[in-house]
Amino acid sequence: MAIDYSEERAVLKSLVTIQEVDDLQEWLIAHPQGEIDLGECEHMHTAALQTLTSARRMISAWPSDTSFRGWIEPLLVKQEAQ
Amino acid sequence: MSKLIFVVDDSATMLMSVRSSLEMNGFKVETASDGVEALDRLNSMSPDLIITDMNMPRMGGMELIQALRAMSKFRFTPILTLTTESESSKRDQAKRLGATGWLVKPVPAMDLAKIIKQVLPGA
Amino acid sequence: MSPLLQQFVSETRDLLQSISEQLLEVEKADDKQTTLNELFRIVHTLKGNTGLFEFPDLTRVLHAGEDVMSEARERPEIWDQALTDLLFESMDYVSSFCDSLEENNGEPTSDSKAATQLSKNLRAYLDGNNSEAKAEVIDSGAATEPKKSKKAATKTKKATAQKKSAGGSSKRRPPRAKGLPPEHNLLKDLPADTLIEAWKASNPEEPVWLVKYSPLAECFFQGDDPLHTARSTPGVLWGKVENDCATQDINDLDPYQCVSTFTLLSSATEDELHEHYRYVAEQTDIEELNSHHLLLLNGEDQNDALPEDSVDALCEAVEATNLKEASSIAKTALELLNKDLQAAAALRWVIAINSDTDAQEHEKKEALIVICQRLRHNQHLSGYRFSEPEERAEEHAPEGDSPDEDAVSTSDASAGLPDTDTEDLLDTLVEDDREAFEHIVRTQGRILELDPTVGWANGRLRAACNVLMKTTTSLNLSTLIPSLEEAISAALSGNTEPLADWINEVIPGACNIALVNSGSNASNEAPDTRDTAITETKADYENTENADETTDSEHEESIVEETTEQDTPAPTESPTTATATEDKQASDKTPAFKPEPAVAPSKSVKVDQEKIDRLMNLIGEMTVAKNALPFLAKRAEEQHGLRDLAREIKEQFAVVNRIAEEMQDSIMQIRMMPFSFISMRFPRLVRDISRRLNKDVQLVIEGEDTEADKNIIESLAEPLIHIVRNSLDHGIEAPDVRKQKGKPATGNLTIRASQEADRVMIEIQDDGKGIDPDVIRNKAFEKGLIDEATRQRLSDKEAVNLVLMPGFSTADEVSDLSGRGVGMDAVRSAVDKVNGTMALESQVDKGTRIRISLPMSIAVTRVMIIESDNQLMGIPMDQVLETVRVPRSEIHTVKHVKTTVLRDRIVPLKSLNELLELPAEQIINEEEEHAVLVARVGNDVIGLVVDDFRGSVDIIQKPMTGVLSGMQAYSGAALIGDGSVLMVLNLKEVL
Repeated sequence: MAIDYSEERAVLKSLVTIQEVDDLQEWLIAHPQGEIDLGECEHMHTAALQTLTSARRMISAWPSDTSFRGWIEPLLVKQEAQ
Repeated sequence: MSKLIFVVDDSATMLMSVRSSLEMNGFKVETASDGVEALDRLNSMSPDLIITDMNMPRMGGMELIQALRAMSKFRFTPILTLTTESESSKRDQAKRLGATGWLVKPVPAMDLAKIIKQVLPGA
Repeated sequence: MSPLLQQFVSETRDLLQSISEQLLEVEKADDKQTTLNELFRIVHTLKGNTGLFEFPDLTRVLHAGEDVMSEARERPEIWDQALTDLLFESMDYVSSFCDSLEENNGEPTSDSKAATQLSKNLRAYLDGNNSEAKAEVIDSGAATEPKKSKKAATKTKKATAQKKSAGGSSKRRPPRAKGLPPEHNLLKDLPADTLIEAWKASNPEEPVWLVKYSPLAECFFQGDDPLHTARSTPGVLWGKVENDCATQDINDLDPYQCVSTFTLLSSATEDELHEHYRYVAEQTDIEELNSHHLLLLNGEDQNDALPEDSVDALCEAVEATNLKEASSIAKTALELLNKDLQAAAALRWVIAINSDTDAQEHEKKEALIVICQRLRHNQHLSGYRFSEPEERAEEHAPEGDSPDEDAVSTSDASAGLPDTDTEDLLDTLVEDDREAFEHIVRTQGRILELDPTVGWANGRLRAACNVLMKTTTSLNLSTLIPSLEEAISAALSGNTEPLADWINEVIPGACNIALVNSGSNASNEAPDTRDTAITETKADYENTENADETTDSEHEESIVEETTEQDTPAPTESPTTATATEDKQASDKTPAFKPEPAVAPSKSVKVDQEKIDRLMNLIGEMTVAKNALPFLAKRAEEQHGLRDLAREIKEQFAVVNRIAEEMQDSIMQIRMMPFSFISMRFPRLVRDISRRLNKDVQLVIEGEDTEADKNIIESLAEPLIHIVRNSLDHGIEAPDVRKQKGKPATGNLTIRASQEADRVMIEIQDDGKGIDPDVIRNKAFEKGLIDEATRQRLSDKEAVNLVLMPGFSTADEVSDLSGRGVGMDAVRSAVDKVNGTMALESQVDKGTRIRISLPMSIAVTRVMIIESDNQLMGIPMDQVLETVRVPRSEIHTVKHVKTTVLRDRIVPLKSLNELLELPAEQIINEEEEHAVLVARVGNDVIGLVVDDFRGSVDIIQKPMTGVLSGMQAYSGAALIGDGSVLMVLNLKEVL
């Protein structure tokens, strides 16, 4: 599994596949304040991105791959501000 | 971790060729020689990608794709069909049934690696 | 041969067999459709496999076969017996092709003429309209290419057309008017730096592309990850994802519906992009971006950010083409500005454009003018009249641009490529061909320049030659062909210079093999010569085109059309070219292909006979080792008095023994092959022969699953074929003869295999004219095979079996079908070799039945151990009828031959010691009885007098080797449990 869950945050690592989206969504619903750590995330499936976009969470760490960050940041950071 | 690719083709020669191309590119490979055998073997496997021939005895590619998409385990698994140049209509039909894309036989090893990288994140 | 090629040959043989079966089926079947579908599938698979190799002749035949099968599926009515014959003939061609592959270690000697003829004949079955044109294309030598290139060719065409229009809007030739290009909505979000980077990346030859990708909602269920697809786009400069998920409650979100769309900018080629998005082509929009579209001032809007005089100064510097000045003004102004403002973006553009080392001065100026205009517009300043740059003004003088016009002209189709005038003379189709042709030739030129010492250089060279030949042929550049042929033959025999010369003649400077030799970097050199090369070849091309003679004027048009659409191998798409390019890329790393270890298909494994033999030997040794345990137990008990230990050893022995036996069985099973392995040849054989003889024969094969050892099955093939031929040739009568005899016109031939205990029985039965025993008697007598007495004495049944005697042949005339002079005796000796027996029954006009009985396995032999003159010897159990004790008194001498009567039958007795010339009398037991082993040798029964019997045992018999191999009296030797060697008698020889 590429996602580590704790009470405070979900840490997404390496490749997050669509198979992990069910669990991610469940965790997000169960943890309305939970933060997202993308520091070690290299890629997430579109479905995971959509789920995170909908959840509008604080991103505690952005991917170190700046090009990947460039793709997803506008969608996720916007939410942070809202 | 190297990705597992499952290849289905009734031709042992084609299987051997695709297998060696894949292994050359660092993939793990499992095979079956028709749809029935594929479904049987896939019960106990979760490949990252499935490549299937279209024309096979017992169960062909179309039926296999339909069967796989009906299984929750393989709902989202990328599936590439192995087609010949003349089968373009089959490609589209297979796509409608849930195939991700297609390969055109014969597939040079380098093209194969490139295409797999396109459909498989992290490959 | 590479493992892949070996696999190919082996599978091809299997597929050919299946095709052959199905072909026979089609003739019989009421429901042709199923069989035709199956036939198509097999031929299709076979043809697909040939694509893995460069065997154009083979592919050509199979391609035609596949097309015919495809047609036949749709229109079964085209099927006739001649087509079956033709397909058989084609499969024979494929089969002999495989033979030559094997004989010549992967380099087939192929009969191109035969292949062409076959493919033509096959194609004659296709719908009249298509067939000829198709055949022409296929036969032009590009058997595998045409369809592949079709798509590629259209692509290139499209790309060329767009490139042409793009020519007018590129950096080198920006829009004539100074009016502003429309602002692209999709680009508005782009960071200014990204735009600048994209602008720098674009140039007239390589424009920047805007990709809009809107995946289907259900695309996740097709295995897509659009974010991955977008991110992995080649040459991606920038991209963004959009969706409205933020407005959706996470509780209600269906994450499996894709609602995201993607926009990105790429500097890859259009072909690369189409290739990348080919699976989602209908969800993708790829648009070429005018480099001026990129000149946008993205950022925050503030209309008085820059003082008007600064803007004016900037514009003046640009107008004066004082770019350094413009740059320094921009730098100064930028320091005072908020970097996020649109005005700041403009200043950064000015600096970036000036520092772009790739762009020409006038290009820079034009870009700067656009930026200045935008800046003025943005700052709500009045327009500035820039004058037309000189060189541009000249070029476009006739079009009379008005600098004040705000109109935008984005494309300029007539904008001069360096070769405009020649281009006008050629229609577009020819131009496409020319481009593709030149590209291919140039690529081959560069391939030729590559290091010729690497291991795969030969294959690479062959590929390049193929490509050149096919391309030239398919474009009908017939005047170039003779010189190319010469050059290729020189190249293949080691001298690439003539080929390089040829290429350079077509495209000057496209190939410089000397560069390689002198060590400089050839591949860097070649592209520089490109542009000049294009113009110079055009004249050549035209000449050839005109000189080209097309004999069939009626078909000329359609053929040319076919050729241009299908045959033009396009630069990047043609498989051969692609491979060649790969080779080039891979040349300093690893070869693209290298022999891989054999990979087994998933269900059955093909194993070398040697490996199984080794297993057999090992289990043999194991058996021996295991058999030593009872001796050990005996010693423990008798010599050391360890009863318990002895018992335990015996128990262990029982376990090991059971395992060893099972193991042996399993290994034997591996060696077992079904009778079908040889019987599958018969349907075709019977069909061919009976058609040649004008006989009507129905073949029935039963018991194809019956298994026997591989050696046995294989040794049966030749004899059976011979018997079947005999039946067809001499047994079954012609239909009219049969009718006269009151028999059905169709003769019956039945081949039946079955298992009886540990033997395999093969029965071949026909309902033909049978064998006349009198004829046989007389013949045998005439030939001196029997004497008068025997002739009188022999029963009819015995008489017909005379045909099995050496030197007997009944054929009145020698037919080419049944061979010359080799009769049934050859069959018999083949059967003898594997310890088989055969018998023949026949009734005149009713038919003949031949029964062959064979051991199921020859690997393990059960032998009776006998003792004679203090030696142990083995006699195969299948020859032993019984062992008896014969009182000395019951042995009589009849005509100098010792005999006795057993079960009312006179049995001749032979002393083993005598036969083996051992100087000892046979030992008699206390009751004065001789130990007699009654054996069947051939068709005779004899009693072998020995000293004693010692029970029977399974042995793995090994043939005698070395000096011992000359000892005919023994068929082999084996180790037995106590470690001693047991010699196995060959009774046939001994007697």
